[in-house]
Amino acid sequence: MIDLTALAAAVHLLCSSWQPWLVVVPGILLGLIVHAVPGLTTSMALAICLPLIPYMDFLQALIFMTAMYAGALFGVAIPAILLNVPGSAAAVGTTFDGFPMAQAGRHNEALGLALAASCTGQAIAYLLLLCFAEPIAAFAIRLGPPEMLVVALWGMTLIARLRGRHLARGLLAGVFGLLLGTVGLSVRGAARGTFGFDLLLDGIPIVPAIVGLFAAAELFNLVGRDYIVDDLTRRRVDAGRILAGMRDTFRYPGTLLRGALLGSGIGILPGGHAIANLLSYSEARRAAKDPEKFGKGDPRGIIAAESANASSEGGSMATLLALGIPTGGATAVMLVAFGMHNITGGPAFMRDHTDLVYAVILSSLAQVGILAVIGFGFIFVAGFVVKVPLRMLVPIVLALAVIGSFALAQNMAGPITLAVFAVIGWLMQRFDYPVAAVVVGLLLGRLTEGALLRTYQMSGGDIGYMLTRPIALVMLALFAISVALPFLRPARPQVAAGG
Amino acid sequence: MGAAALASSRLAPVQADQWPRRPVTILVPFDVGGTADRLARGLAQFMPKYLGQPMTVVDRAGAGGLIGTTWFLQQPADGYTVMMTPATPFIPVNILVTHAHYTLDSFTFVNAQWTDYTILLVPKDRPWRTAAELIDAIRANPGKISTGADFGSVGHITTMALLHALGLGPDAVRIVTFDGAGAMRTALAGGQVDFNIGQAEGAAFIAGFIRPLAVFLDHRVPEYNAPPINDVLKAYHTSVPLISGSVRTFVFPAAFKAKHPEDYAKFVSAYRATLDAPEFRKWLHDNQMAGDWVGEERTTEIVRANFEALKQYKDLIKA
Repeated sequence: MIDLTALAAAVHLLCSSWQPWLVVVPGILLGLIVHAVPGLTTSMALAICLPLIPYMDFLQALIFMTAMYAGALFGVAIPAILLNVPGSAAAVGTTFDGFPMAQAGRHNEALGLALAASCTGQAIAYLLLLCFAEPIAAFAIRLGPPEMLVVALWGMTLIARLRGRHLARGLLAGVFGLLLGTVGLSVRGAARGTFGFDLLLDGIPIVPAIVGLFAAAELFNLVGRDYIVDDLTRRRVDAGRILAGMRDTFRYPGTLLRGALLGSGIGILPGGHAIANLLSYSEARRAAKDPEKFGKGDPRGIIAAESANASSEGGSMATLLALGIPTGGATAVMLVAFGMHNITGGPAFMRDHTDLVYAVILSSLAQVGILAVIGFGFIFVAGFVVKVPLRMLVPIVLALAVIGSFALAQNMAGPITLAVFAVIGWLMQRFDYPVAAVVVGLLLGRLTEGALLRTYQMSGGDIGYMLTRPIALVMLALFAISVALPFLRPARPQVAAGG
Repeated sequence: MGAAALASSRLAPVQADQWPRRPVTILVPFDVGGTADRLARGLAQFMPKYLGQPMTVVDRAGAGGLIGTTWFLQQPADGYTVMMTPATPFIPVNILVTHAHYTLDSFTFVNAQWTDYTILLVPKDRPWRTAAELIDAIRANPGKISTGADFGSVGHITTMALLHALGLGPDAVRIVTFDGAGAMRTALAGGQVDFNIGQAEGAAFIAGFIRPLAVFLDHRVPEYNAPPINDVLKAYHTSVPLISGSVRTFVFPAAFKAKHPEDYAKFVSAYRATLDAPEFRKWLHDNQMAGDWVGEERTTEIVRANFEALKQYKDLIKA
């Protein structure tokens, strides 16, 4: 599948000049900082960088943006692990085991695991892209609402797995989340659940809500404690332990590979990258012999979530690089570079610009290595958060989270959402309802409804239409098998699944 | 605010009593990187030379422009906040569909600088070579052929207008509503829907996947080898209103022009000088944007015509 002549041209393109490389380190750093600091947003970074794009050539602009993206994919994991603050929906899965590890004094290992899993996930995604960009892209644009619907339903089974001690409370929490997800203007123009507030027309701002539910509620729980890590001897930043964490990642090759492949697969779907980490986490937990360990600081949880998150942009990168079509996420941003350089997409895009596409992919592979080094230094510095007394850390993080929620929503809807959901999250924890189930519901509510509505509209209400969608049928069969499997296996003695 | 005015008056005593005494904010009610934002940033770069004060761009996205526009109207109508927005279809949609608390009379529409047109597209693998073939296929198979629509967009309204003109009900095609024009174009490129009526400008990104069948203009264009829609519709003894697509214009609150006509005139002359400046024209060309001058009267006419068309077909798009 690889055009060797073009590959050679790409290598030449990258090696004959140092200029394309000039933007890699600033790009990665910018991505890391913007996504690791609660309070900064991607659109701020973009506003700063947009004026620079016309001064770069096309390759340089694309490399700059992919570098920024490489940093961003990992950056969100840092506050997720250290503070239980997922910087975006894509880091929700990382908090499940990341923060418990940090609290147990294994923050060094957790960050190392996340970095290595993220780099490996990205590397696998780009290797797949290098070999199969065109077929992946051709496949990707054939996927539509019915396929999305199957994946969204699959994601919903996660609610049952995150149920905590009581099944009924877990389901109730999940349904509550799904209902919250329908607030706002529907794709058919109906305003629902807004109670006349214009600020709610775009729905509940997801990231402020997640930060409120997870972080603010958790931070309230920390009141009365002195440090995130209780044990004084473990309260330090240790390069050796970070490295040990990175090494440990490869002790779970199955989890790592499954995460990367699942991420690449789900990432192909429009909007899929936000849920890839959750599905991968869920599948890792299902496949484990000891699922009760998940949620209490299991390294596999971090590996599964991070590898899937890192590889999930591969799918939309494939359609962008092979066809010149953005399908969402970061690629919509990269389209700006396309527009500014007068390049248009189409089936011939990759054939016309094969060397350019290969050059971007090769440089992205190299960026993964650079990210491993820069990321190591970055988490070494970020890790010092554990040394900050909580009486200082909690107000600082809360203040940054509030500022960040304002920046994200661009209006008071952000801070208000954060405050309301902090109370909801705290109450839910107090009465033993699983907060994570609400978040999954909130993330999937809108996605599922949109996919269901469009499937219904496309089919004209005729169920036989599904027979014309073979990919959806295959996915549905896989889904059914995945759900049925635990019941088909001989029952084994099992402690009630903990959460 | 008083302190800021005081500070700048100390810096520039000569201009102390003249607008503008401090920087002007351009509000864009959409996200960074969109067309309105990019145009605003270009103007913020070139226009200060003629206005005598710097301009800064602020993006406040949400609810199809409603959130930003509402905020804009809450600012003092003193000319220090101006909005750059695709006034149609968004302001009419805000008013008619989302029940915004403003009307067309709340605004002064300065100049439709960059206007897009509408186009009828099918994926390349579909059998229809002409618009007439597609129309006949819809008539022969009512309720079987699907079309993508970005809810409330000019393309959506035009789709309903076309069906109406042909004597067909809204159920004659399967209307699939997407979250935004980007998602809809990807679906069209992937052949998820059978046809689409949408904006020509965005269609360039998927040019290799599609076949244009008609343009919603009264003349042909060099970019697309397709006839004007009303030429096609002659055979059916009907026609459709030609609604302009995104009309990007500077907008002021109506009170600004009413209260400070000289300041408004000053803004317009600085803006016209910018549009005539060779360096700005080059910038527009490099960024594939237009720099038309049609003036306030014609721009208001366009916005009103779109508003009336949307009002007429509003119940159809809700059905």
